[in-house]
Amino acid sequence: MNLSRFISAALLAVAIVTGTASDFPSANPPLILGGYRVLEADFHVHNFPFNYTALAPWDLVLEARRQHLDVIAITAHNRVWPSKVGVWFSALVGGPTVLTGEEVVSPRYHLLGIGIDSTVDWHQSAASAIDDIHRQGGVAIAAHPGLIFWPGYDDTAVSRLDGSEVLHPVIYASPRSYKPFQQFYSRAHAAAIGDSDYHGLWPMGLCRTYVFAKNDSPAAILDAIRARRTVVYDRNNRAYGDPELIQLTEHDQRFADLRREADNPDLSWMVRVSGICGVLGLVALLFL
Amino acid sequence: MQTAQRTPLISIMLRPAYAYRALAALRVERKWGAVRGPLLLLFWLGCSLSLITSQRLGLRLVAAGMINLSFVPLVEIFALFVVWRGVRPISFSRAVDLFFLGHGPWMIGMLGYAAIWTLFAPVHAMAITATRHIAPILLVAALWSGYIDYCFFRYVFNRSRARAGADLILERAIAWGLGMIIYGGGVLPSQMSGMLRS
Repeated sequence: MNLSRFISAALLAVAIVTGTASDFPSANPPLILGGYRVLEADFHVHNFPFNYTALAPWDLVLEARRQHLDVIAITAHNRVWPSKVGVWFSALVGGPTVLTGEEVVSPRYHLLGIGIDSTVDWHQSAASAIDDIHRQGGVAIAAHPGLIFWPGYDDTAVSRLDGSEVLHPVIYASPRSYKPFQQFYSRAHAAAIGDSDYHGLWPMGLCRTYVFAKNDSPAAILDAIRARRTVVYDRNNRAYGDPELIQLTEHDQRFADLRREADNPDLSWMVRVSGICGVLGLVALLFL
Repeated sequence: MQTAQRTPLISIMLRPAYAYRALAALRVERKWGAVRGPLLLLFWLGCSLSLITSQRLGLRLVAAGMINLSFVPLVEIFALFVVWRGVRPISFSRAVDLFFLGHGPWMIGMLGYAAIWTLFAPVHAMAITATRHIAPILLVAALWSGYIDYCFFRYVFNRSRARAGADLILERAIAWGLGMIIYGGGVLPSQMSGMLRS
């Protein structure tokens, strides 16, 4: 082994050892506020295969646990079965609550159907798809409702929505896209939702929803969304959701700690060393 | 010729025609050559996924990326096999070895993206990696890689210019077509319907 290969191998070995050692999350104690359990949720997570991402349902469950997410919904494009695999695996390993669901991707709208059992036909109108989701006992959330999707939601569809993504990672990439999300949320009078729309191109839970539920069961979480008991904060400290719950969260140090941890994910020295050595190791592998 | 042998990835990126001509002339099979290239690409994909998702290199995510994205080298090998049929005197394992040495532009692109997510806070990383910034870089990588693969077909398979171009298009159509179905096939019917409607 020549010197350059040795340097590369040593850097990558340090990166993998420190990265793996720091990959075991500590569990957060449950937070109770206003008589409700506060759950950190990401209702828009995609899985491999067929969904423009690289993590399989079981990988998503493990990653959600590392991200301190209490709840995720696996929302494959136009199919429900991957979320059922996630539910099964999470029960097996004692992971977070996984909700069944799908992202109904129509050319005219994108809609999250959460807590459903069978696939919703994407050929129908948004109002009809929402009705289908409700018939199955699920909740319907408008996914990243940018201007391009507004024509897909007529007044009937908007009035039947249970939630609307007001916070989505794209607003940090393109601040202009934020306003339409805010306007759609105001129009819908639905639960405020923040999701990461995880596709493997950024961390899961980058945007998240704080759900105020009676417990962490799927039924209680769906009830909380129907009752609009959610709070979403953006990185500029702007809050959306139930005003009374927002007030509760503003004066609670434990909630502030929860948010700080979510906004600034675990960047201990081990994570830093792993990341920097990993990048340098790959550079050395390529160029030396 | 020595440079092309010593640092083939870099040589092929910088002078693909010269490097592939030199490497093809060697007629020496590297030990495990047909496996090393695909495995390196897989390791690269796994590391990139881990760095982007968790800002560290953890075995869990590196392994998950390598397993789930194994379709990438597999569809490329299949596409290469379709194009390679009948090419003499190069063996298929040697062809795979040399072909995967041409992935430098994609590897640099992935490394750059992963480095941004590793070194910057999420909000800043999101802004830096916005589509309007990434799209031109992707286009450059696609063109650069296309030229490298063209040189591969031209000088390793010893094709005419027109035939090398046709090989490139065929290889891309098969590999990227199959890859798109596996990676994002769930949404293709709806997307195609939308495109036809507009």
